[in-house]
Amino acid sequence: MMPRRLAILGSLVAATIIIATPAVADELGDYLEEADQATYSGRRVVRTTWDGLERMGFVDVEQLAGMAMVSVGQSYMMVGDGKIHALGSPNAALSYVHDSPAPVDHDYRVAMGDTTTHLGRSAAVMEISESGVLRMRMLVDTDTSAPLETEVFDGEGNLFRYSTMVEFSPSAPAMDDYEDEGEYQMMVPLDEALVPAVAGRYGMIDVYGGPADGQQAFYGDGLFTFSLFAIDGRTDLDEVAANGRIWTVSGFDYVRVVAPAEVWVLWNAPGSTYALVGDLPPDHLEEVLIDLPRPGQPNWFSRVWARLFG
Amino acid sequence: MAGVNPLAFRREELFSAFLDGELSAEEAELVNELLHGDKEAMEEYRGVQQVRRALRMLPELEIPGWLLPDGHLGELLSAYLDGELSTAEQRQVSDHVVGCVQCRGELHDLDRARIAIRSLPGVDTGQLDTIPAPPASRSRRLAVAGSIGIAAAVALFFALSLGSQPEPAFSLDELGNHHIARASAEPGFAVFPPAIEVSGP
Repeated sequence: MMPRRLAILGSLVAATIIIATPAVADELGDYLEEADQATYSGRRVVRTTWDGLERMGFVDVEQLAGMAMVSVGQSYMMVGDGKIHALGSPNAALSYVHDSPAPVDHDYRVAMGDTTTHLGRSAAVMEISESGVLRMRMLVDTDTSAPLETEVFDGEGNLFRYSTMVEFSPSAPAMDDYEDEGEYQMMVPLDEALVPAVAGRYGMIDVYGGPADGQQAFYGDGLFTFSLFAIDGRTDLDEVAANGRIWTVSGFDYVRVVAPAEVWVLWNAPGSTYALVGDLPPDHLEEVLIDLPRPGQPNWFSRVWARLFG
Repeated sequence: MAGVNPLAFRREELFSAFLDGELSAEEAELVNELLHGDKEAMEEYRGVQQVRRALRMLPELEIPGWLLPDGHLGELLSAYLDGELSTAEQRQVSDHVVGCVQCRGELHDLDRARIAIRSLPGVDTGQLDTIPAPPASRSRRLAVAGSIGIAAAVALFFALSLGSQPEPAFSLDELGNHHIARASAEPGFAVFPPAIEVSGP
């Protein structure tokens, strides 16, 4: 792994010295894989800003061999490779058998900027543009490939999400062994999906049964990802998302919840509740929602029938 | 330093320096060796980490007034029993009541009083706020009965057409964990791992 990382970072630095040349999108995929395999620990602060609403959070992370130990309050959560395991709580363990990663959207182009320092460490500036517009800027630790700082911009060039390490160590302690006692999520054939295979520029990667007796469809474009949950029946969204706000897209009202590292959108459609969660920026989200089932009420007869006979 | 285990003290210093990024590569390697397979050392490491986290969190704590030592819930308890609070407020009240003897006692008394009123013969809580109406004539009683019938039909119509929303079958936390688990299999998950929110609504 080390020679490959060195080769990639070497090529990035070489590109910096020569000229800021756009690189092929595959290089982005290579870097993202390298970042997941990086070894480091520290504290990261994440902030999302949307329509004047700001949400900030932090995460203590120890990353080693593709797994991250993330502290949540007084407990710890091990996350990676399709698994989540809250230590001391077997019921919180989930495991996903998954397909190959989403192909990188060819609209993304990578360019290397100046080298700089962050937290006293040498870092390469990586800029990812989409159709010629800057979408993401990252400071990548030269030694470990860890993302030290990340900025994501919306379609109008406004800073949407910002993340920075505020403490960083290029090492991490060996992780505790744990038994894989997670509940495996059942994969559903794509043609049995209840939701569209393509939404905006995102393609459906795989579909799973549940939770709440529904379906979870997972989408990605090679950089951002989201899950769309389709749940049978209507839901009191005020109860589920007490701090949600109404967000209107193409004349339809959705409930939106902004969190530090992701955004939620929830709505009721005739006979179903939909919940979307992901890290995609606002303009992508709008494009996605246009392709998904719209919010709405079932007709009067259906409502009466459902009330009387379930 | 009587009573202090020198080895444990040295380890704690090491872990602290490790978390501060102050160790050389060799020393960091030593820490890794110490932690590998040694549950006691790992427990100690987590302890040091938690103390540091708690210290960092101190200035960020925003304590609601009613959680201060002499602050109690008062009228919130009644609203709590009436189900008039938001989910977040309900959780805050529950958390407070668990640790506050006075409020727990008050909540218990309030609940007992409500049960006692409900159990009075021929009295329901709805009648407490109404003044009994004078006796009505037969024609007036028929008119009233007709009105009640129409009102009931209208209420039934709205109940059937609008319907009350059922209890939520899911929580955002539950769905969020499913998304995080699946997303962690994709390249780039390290760029934006889940974060614990510190800013309020």
